[in-house]
Amino acid sequence: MTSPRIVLMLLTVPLVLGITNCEEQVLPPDHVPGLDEPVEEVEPNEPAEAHADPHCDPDKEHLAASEPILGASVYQLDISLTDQDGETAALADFQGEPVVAALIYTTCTTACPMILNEVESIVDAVDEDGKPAKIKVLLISMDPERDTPEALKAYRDFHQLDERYVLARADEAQVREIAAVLGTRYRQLPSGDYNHSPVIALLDAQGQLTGRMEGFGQQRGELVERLRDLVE
Amino acid sequence: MTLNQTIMCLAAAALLAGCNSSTSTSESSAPSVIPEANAAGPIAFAPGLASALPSSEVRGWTPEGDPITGEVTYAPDVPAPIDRDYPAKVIIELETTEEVMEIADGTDYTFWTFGGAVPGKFMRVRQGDTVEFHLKNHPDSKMPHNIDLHAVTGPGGGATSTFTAPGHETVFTFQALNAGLFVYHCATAPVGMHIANGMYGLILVEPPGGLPAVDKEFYVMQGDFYTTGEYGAEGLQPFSMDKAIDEDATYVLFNGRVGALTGDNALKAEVGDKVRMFVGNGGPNLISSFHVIGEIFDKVYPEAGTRFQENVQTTLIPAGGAAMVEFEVEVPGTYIIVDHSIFRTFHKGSLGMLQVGGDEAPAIYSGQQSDTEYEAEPLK
Amino acid sequence: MKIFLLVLASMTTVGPGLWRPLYPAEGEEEITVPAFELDEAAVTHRQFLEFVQEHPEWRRDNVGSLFADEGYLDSWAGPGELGSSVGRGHPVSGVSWWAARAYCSSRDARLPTEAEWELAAQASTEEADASEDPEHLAQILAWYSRPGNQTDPVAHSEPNFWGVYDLHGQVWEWVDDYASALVANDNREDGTVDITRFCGAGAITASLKIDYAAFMRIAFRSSLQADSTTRNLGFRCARDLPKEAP
Repeated sequence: MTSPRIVLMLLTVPLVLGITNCEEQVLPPDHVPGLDEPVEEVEPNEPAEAHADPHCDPDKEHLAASEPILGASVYQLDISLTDQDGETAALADFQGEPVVAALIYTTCTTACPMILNEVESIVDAVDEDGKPAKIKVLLISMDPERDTPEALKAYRDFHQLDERYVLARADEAQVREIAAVLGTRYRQLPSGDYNHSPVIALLDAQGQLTGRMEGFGQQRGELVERLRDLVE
Repeated sequence: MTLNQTIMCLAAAALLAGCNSSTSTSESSAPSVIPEANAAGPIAFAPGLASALPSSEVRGWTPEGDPITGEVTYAPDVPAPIDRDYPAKVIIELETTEEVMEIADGTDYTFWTFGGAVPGKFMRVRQGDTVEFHLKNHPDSKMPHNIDLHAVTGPGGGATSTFTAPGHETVFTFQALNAGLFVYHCATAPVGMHIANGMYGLILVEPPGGLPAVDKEFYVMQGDFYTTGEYGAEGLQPFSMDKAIDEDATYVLFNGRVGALTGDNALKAEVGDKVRMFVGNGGPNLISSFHVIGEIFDKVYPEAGTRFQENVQTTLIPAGGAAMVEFEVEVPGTYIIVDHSIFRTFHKGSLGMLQVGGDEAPAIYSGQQSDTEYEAEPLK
Repeated sequence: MKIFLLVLASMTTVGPGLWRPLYPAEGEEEITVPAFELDEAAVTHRQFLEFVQEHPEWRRDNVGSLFADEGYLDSWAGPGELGSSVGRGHPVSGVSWWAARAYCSSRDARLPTEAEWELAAQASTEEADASEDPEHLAQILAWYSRPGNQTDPVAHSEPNFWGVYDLHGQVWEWVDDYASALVANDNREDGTVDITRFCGAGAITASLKIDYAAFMRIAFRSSLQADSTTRNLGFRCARDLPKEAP
């Protein structure tokens, strides 16, 4: 189970108060959060720490967008990926560029080729005059058992995907978490194949889900528009 | 995409649309440019992504003017006729709730509703309108809900796009391609139960130019209800799945309650009024033999289609269907509205009233003129 | 020092047993569910408050929007207090999948799988498998006739065959694989595409057509996202049996 580690890191005020949100910081310093909490545990909110949360610090609003990991960011998840070359990386390492993300598995013969097809057409639409857009495409396997790095590499080579495409695997529990944030529903069948919903998600540079399509075609134009905006 | 994949996609689309009854064909009222079918597919349930919803790219008509908030009314009221002569973008909001209300005096039932009442709120739009539909599911709901509007052309009639967890709101947009009076209902599994608990209503899509003017318009919707206790048993009565499956209705009601259209709640008109009733049948099971005792329908639009029939006594309204009936009232008095499957009327509640005020019209109807004994032959 | 009023939740062994999914794929008409441990009672507001106090990142004013929507713990009077209108011994609700998982993880436990939950829930007070007992099914359905979201304190009713309380009649409960409840099927020709989202065409392939409550559970789960919180949705935790157990 992954806990939102970044949120933890942001907590520098006393834990019992746990105040990180801007609204509460304007409360009077003697505010007692709740009758339920033993009085002796309540400490006044020290003004010096009032700006502990970078979200709330007016002086830091100019921070580069990639600096704080926002509450909506998928990069809060502590997920370890292994790519087609056997290299390991954290999911959060994708921070900084827009990402087109989808769950697939390489032995899937029906929906997954169509998902890949959609993804490629979205990427192609954003590339201008052969100038590849600065994005990443993250295709994560929902079948860690069969999708070894070798299988992922073979798949990537077979489909002649360029270097922006990363094929990756994660352990089963982490796949479930990735599916949860992308809103992909899936289930393994006794045959070893998977039932799954065809979802393509768009993450901005900070890892916030800013676009999503389920099914084929209908919302492609919208996703392309959003991706273009993100690239610019 | 390979041919095989395309075929598979189409096959899936066909399956999705398999039980969607919204694909009636357009007739005389078709626009000059024949609109393509709306290709909106299953739209992801994606909270917080309102702007990812389909934009109002319109095929057939282009909405004009500022967006309008659609007027909705509780039965038996009907929103005013539309006086626009152009297609607009209409925003309609509907909230699903689950709440205990009286189904009869002394008898409570947990109704599931569109808008807090049974039947759900009446919506009125114009053919060619682009409707941005917001479905909210109250946070206290136990169930997810969705809506299948028979006025929608597209998968599930909107149901695939409006599957809404408690406390959530979903949005989808459709263009009202066909004029007519259409049932809407919840289509979440188990569908029968959602409908049996009252999740249905009517949406009217007026043709350009509107319907002929009348003096009074009413919204009446029939539904059958299934409780574990017998008709009139007191207290909170749970839904009976067994009776519903057996189509053994405990209640057959107009507007969701015994007495919704009687006494003080009776519909009211004056002699000389032209009356139009928008009559729907939510089911889930029973077909209505809709009849107004003492009146003849001057016009009936059977199945709420484009053409009308004249001089009709009783019209059939299928479950999940509707009809428009029109008649002029010439004689004052009380007219009983019934499902002429008549045991339902006297034992299950399908009884309403239209009270007509005004001057007597003895030339048309005299009232009783005499009551005397007569000499009869003995029976053999 | 904080005084812990929390009574450690006790678990009971459930299973092994057979569970028949409502929409089985080929080969899963009957699933063998190995024995596992399951909380006897749903997690209560008080227990969850203790958790939130120990893990303030899960307070409603701290939790990232990735992990919980706006309804998260919104019945509580404050981020760290229940208030008088919340029954502390009642099942907690308004908890996202992430939060439920984090809670169980803090107890070295996990959420039950759908198969485990359903196996436990098909027991009546008398029988391990009452999934075809009309009386049992009618009792479950009766919950849906109860309006709103009133609950009782946990473990107020009779435990079922396995010693588990309140699987029906109080709140919906998270399962770890909630997202498998509905899938846009890859094998489209078998007719199970999006089957619970509309039209309840479920009857085409459903294995046990009389269990309407099971249809509802699947419809409910399939309406959820991981960040969803609803006022009727709580959870309990499960655990693998210790290895040395027979």
